[in-house]
Amino acid sequence: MNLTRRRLISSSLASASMITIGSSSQSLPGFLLQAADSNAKSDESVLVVVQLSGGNDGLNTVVPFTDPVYYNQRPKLAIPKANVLSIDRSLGFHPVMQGFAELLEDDKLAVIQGVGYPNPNRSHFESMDIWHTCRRKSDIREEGWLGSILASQTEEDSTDIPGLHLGAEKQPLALSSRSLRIASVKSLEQFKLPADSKTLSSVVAKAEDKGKGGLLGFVQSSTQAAIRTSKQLEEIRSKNTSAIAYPNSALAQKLETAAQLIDSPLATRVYYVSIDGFDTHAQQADAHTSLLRQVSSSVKAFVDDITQRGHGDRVMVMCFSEFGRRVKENASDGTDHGAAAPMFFAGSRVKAGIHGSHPSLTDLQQGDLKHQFDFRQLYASVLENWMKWPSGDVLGGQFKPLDVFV
Amino acid sequence: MDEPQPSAELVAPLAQQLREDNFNVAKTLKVILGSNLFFSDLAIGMKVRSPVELVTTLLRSLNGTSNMDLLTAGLHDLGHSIFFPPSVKGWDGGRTWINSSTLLGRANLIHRVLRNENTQFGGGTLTEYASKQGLSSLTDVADRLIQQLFAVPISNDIRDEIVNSSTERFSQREEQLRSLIHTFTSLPQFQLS
Repeated sequence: MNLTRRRLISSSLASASMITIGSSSQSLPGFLLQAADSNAKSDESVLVVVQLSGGNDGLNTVVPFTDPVYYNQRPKLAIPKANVLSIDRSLGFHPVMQGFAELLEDDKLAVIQGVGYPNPNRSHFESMDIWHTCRRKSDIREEGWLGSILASQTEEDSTDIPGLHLGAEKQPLALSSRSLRIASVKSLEQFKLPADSKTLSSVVAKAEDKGKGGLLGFVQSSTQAAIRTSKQLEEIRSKNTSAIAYPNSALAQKLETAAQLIDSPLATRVYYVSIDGFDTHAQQADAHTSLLRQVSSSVKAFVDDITQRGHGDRVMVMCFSEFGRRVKENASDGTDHGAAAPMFFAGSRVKAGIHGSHPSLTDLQQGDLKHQFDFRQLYASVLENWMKWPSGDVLGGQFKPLDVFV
Repeated sequence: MDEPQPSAELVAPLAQQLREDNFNVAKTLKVILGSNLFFSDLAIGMKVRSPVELVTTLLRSLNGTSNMDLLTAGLHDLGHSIFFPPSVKGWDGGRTWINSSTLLGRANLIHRVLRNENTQFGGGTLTEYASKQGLSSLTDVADRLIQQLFAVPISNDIRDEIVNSSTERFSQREEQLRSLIHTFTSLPQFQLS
């Protein structure tokens, strides 16, 4: 890339500003109108990534209930045919995934079968890094796929928050970028300004920069944007309660926050949340049941909420895990690290239904399910077809997007 | 400094000096620190304070001590995990320190530091410290802050507005001082050194 350091730095201006006007019909406060910039962005598509950390057992998520091999290999853990929430004549969701079943019924869920990559790595860290960067260990990987694309898509003079990680855990590598710092937010409380914001606004406006585009001018406009963001989020906090009842879980809370932010004038295009615990080597049944219930019910509540707030057509949720699990259960009533697994896309503009065939339980690769779709094909769909961004060299090669959006 | 980037012509003689001294930095540093450019608008206020610089500059100027756990966690939240740089290159620094969430985070961290029970100034409260320093009015304190902490000048107009706001909002002296320092350190000018 032929970029000078200066350009690189200035292309990374990552502050927020109230330059969009939400779709709500309430009268707009003066500061918002003042700040309303050239183009309203409230119609731009938004990606919400839900990471299932630890390796989700795909076979007990989307159950092949007519396959005798499934029941032979999993005498203790297999979900009985009578209990699954059937999707079609051979597949069904885990019985607690009522939310996903309803989304599918409403044409708001796409299940992508058998997603993985060649020469699968069974280490959590390595496989997650591969999903996050689209690069192998032998390659240089300083940037994540989302950090890299956000850095290239963020305009030099932008004062928006391009992406947000909601959660207290370490920021996922997927969001890292050489030139753009993406914020991790534990709660909206972080945006509270403990000061006399009226005086602060007034004195900040009085800073005198030596010239246009100077450093002080940059910090000044960023501070003004921060004060506006804070005020705006204060309003969101005070009145913007969801009409939808979210389940009581950490994942649901994060998604509810994401819904509030999407329904605010923030122009953030990518939200990232995760839920850990899918590494079910022992006593899998109860733990996995609880995790799937959380994912399914939280995503369902989020999609309902975002639809009710009027953003259904521009918001899409992508659920993935770093790998699936082995076909055969182990001796500790659990399952060990595997390879291919399903991905889920939720929202009103996904091509609902099952994409691809269920991976064969007999034609295996080192005892694991073979992938039929490369995850980078799905990333290509997300970047090019959903976000409308050229994927460039983010994916580390050419990958044909899968047709998963309407 | 973070910007503007010095031109090649400016760097060349320094590089030459450094090579001649067999990469002993002392002489080169002396040239830099003694140059007119170092005291010009090209260098002053041209560096963004990192989170660590922000907090330590404030505490040191007021002879302050605080809760290390609070500081470490707060700096971590601002992207400055001490001894854990994001890569071998270190922190990108400069403008990348600044965005809406980090600016509010900076203001919040200083707010928490000023109110933490373990925070002391010269071993006592802000009120005690100010009186020991012979700073009797809020304006005196403001002038001292401006002189010690700001590379970019702050007008009397701005100073008076902050002093008035702190006086109006709080009746207790300690709260007034906290509010004053907090507002000054939230200014865009304070983010630069």
